[in-house]
Amino acid sequence: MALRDYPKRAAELLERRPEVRESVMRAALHFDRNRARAYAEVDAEAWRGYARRVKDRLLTGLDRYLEAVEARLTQNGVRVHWAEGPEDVHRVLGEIVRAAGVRRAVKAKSMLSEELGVNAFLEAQGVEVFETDLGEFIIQLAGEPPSHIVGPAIHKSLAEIQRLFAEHLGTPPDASPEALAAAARAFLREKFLTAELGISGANFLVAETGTIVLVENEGNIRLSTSLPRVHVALVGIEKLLPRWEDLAVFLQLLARAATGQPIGTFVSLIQGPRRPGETEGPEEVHVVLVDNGRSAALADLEAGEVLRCIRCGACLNACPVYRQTGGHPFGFVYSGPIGEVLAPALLGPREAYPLYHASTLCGACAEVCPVEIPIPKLLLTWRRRAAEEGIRLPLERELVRGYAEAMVRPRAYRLASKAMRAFPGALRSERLPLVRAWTRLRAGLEPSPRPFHELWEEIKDEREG
Amino acid sequence: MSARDRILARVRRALAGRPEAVLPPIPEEPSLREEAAFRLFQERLEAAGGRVLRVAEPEAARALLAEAAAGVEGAWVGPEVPAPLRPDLPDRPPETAGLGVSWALAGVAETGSVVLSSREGRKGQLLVPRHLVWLPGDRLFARLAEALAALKGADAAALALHSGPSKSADIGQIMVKGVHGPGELWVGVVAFEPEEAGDGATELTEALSRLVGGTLRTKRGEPFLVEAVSERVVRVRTRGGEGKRLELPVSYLARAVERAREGADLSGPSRLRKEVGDRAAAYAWAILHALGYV
Amino acid sequence: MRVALFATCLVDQFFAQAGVATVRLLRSLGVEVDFPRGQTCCGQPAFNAGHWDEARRMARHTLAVFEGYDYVVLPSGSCGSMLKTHYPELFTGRGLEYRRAVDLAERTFELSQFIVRVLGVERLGDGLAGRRFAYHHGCHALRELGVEEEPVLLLKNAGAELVPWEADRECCGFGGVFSVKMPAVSVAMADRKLDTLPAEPAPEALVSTDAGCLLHLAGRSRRRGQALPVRHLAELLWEARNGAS
Repeated sequence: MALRDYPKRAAELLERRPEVRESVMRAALHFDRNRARAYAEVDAEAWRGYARRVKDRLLTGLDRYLEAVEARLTQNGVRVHWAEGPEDVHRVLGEIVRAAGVRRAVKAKSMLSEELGVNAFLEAQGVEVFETDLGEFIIQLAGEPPSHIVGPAIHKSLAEIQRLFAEHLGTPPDASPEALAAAARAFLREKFLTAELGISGANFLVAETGTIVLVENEGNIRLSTSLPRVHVALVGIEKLLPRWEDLAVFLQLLARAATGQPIGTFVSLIQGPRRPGETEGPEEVHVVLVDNGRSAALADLEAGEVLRCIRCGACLNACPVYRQTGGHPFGFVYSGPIGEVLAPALLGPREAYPLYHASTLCGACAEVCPVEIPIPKLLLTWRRRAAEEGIRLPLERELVRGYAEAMVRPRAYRLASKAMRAFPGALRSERLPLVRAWTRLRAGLEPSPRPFHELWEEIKDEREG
Repeated sequence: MSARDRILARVRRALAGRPEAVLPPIPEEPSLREEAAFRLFQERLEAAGGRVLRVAEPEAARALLAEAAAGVEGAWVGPEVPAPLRPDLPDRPPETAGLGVSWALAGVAETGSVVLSSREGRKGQLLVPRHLVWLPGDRLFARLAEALAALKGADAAALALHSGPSKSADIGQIMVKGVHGPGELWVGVVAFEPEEAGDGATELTEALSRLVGGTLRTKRGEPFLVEAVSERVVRVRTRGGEGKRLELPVSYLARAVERAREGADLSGPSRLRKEVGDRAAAYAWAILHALGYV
Repeated sequence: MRVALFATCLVDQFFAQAGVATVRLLRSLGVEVDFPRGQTCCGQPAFNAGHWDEARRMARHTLAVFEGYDYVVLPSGSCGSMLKTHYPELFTGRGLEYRRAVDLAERTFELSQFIVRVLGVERLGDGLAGRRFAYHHGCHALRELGVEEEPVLLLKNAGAELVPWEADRECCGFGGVFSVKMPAVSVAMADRKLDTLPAEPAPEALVSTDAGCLLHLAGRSRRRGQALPVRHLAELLWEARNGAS
């Protein structure tokens, strides 16, 4: 799905499937309101400032922290792998699958694994892969990509899910949400108990202690990382935290920002494989430290702040643009405001065009971000870079130049003002290029009979009477 | 050059000449006194759909256990759970138990969380529909930072914070409980010292400790090593000490001894399973047999 | 003090009466405004689209036009923010021009901000008594200039009732060029605003500091067959002082 088709896909979605807008709007508003309430319960400003500084420290010392976490993980009995991109990850997974005789894998939700095409690779190796997060399970059944960082299936209505489950799991067509969840639970439980491999991401990886931290509400992540014999955690190199103690704020801030909870229902703090005396838990734990464009973003002083992101989804929930369509039209793993500034950082402005234009720069995202990423500022940076590189619509440069030429000449401006009034139909036209983009869905523009600069001549000598 | 070398080189190049940002101090929040901490803990966990009770004496514990056991056929109980806090239910493996009972390492008031250890087993914390967690009152911390400080370096493959029943709103934004993990979370905050059973247990533990280091055989003839004995568990290693490690709760063995004394037929592992439950019954029976109880 | 009015191209062309109202309102508060006739466009559309060279050309022109005034007042949150927040960004690293941009930024105020924070006036009169409006917080005014209380205060102190509106701080979807680059999404955002307006009791009009927002919402409202009246804040503030015309 090409990113450059965003405007068309968004328009199509709005026209053909208005129920998606309804579902997404409801979910986003719900999450955002809960977030606002949860922020108000604590000193959110102080926490956000602290979290930003901790992440800045991590990023500016990243090589040191990566080496430290590798040493610590190894000491804990965890196998550490490094991956520049999808090929490396596939190679590591392939070796693990072969060595452990993996035929079935259960997956906890991981956006990074979507970036890396993990499911498709494993399936090509003959491994059955089951998404276990309920939202991911739903979209896996539907064959769709996720539309939200935290709630992958928020674009789907209850009715659609009922149909999906009836088709794939044999539930009755009017099954209640409880019955649907029970069906998913029973189906997936058997997979948890028989899979040889569990794959997860990581919300945080603590450099000081080598702790893999995972946060969830369902319990599928605990199950995916406890029952199979082998656990592989895919971790973006920017997901580290310097200290064990940093978890106190980050665990609470992440939950409050994402869903308005004081903390995620289940938090796993994984130190390594099962220890002597333990009869349960994976015998092998692997961590794959993944770059996939992050080191390039790190080098970018102007736009590298995006790496502070803890994938809470708060910006999506707050964004009035995202709320109209959900994530699918973006055509990228990450959608919404963070997707708009991650895509160009990881892929480059040409590949990511025009996602960073899919914003009115309203600033709602920056107000809620738990690590204070100035998304509007980053959007402007990418727009500027794109314009400088000639990444734009046809004739855009000429139009803008023409506009500027007119606007630095007051006489030209006033002439244009008169011309507009000489052809009143122009601004109501349904055929003129830019105008029709307005008039297709809005009533045409009507200028004031006389512009202010003419009226000024009449009122300038009035005096308070 | 390996991927590791290339990634680290790129990171160093990206950061060349840039000073490290200052690491801010961990924010300090004022702690809470016991009563306030308990109230906050209860408020938070109940808001998340959990149940919280303060259990001040053994009768209250028994009442809560009876309630939790209502309509339940069998329970999984973590080995660290003291006898007075165990339900009067046959043992079941976590896959089929209707109730799971855990012993928490700590609790956190501000997040409404209990901290569980992988040492007691993970399936029993996740596969059961109803999860009862006992939290020693003196281990309820007001702040997450305090709890984390106390738990740093804990000897367990994994710790887990549970802060409510399993839930999801992924189906049309409608909240459903018990999606993968337990649909019910009950927490009993224990405000008394749960005494273990009396002399019977001590006698048993002493007898068990005399077996340490020795090899026994199951009724089928498989040799196994008795590795260690603690107040709570007997650790054995199957296949003559080469196989997997298992933990048998002392309380399970004690119950078997009691049943035997009451006249129950415990003439083999399958009888033991029926009468008392299944906690590695083959090995448990062999131990009890070696000690002359059955 | 010498005060200049920067009408902004949208007010100049589409809300000329708001410009008139601004002049008369300030005059009635004892402030004589000048209207430097060289003024055109602040350059925001080019800036937002990433064409900073062109935006700089327009900014230079604007800097020259408004040199020498103690204050520059705009009946616009977005253009006000362009000058106050973004002109310094445009000229970062450009020595003297940067200093001039910062200097202009410091002298620039959105109208209600100027009235309340510079003139110290909170009560204009009671010309809006018994009238009901829906106030739309334009994003630039709200989040870049921090203009949130001032318009509300002035309207309420003049007797106006502002209807509770769940989406009042949400972006209307105009976003300048966004409105024609992503029209479907832009209009969906307007629908969100209009769908949540209270119907009973209905407001007399929708008010905002920003002409762009008003044009966009009015246009969509008319296409939906609702024809919700829109008024620029400046017009209402003048009515507050002078009584309805």
